[in-house]
Amino acid sequence: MVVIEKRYRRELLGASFAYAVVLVIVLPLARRAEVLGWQFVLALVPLLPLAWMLRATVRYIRDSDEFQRRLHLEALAVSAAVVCFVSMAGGILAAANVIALDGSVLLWVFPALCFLFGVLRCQIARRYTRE
Amino acid sequence: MNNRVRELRSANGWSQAELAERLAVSRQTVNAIETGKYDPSLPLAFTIARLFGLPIETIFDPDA
Repeated sequence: MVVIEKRYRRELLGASFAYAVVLVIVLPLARRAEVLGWQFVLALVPLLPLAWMLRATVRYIRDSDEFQRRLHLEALAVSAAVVCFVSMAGGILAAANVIALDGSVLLWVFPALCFLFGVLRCQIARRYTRE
Repeated sequence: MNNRVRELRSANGWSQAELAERLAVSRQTVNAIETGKYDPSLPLAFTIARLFGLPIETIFDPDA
């Protein structure tokens, strides 16, 4: 189990680093690209390290034991519900012209889900393992 | 559900980490089972019973 956690941390760290590097290098290039096709391709390049992150998470969950999977599931269910609820609230307010939101707000959905998942995962684990 | 996992682990002189390694689960999982916060699945309960060389019903008490 320790091996699985170490592998997950190593892969996640590598993917996060790659994401940061790609974002810094590729996004300015995508903004400057004159051909729409290139702009499209370059703008989507940051999705590659993100896919690597998702792969690391899937491998981590797949190789976890039954109790760890329960913790993952509870944390993921609650964090997904909260993020969906907040997204819906934002969407409804934007549709009613109460607030102005552009497409870039979608960039916050994945980090928000990851952050909430992490916090809830720790909290739920504490609840189960407290003496 | 009550269980004797902590008692049996101590009798064997194993730490939670050692037992976790023998069961191929995390230390957190062993802790949750010992404190009764998590009831293991049937396959894991059988693995535990096999490891301690005891019948499953002498380790796990469903009536408690």
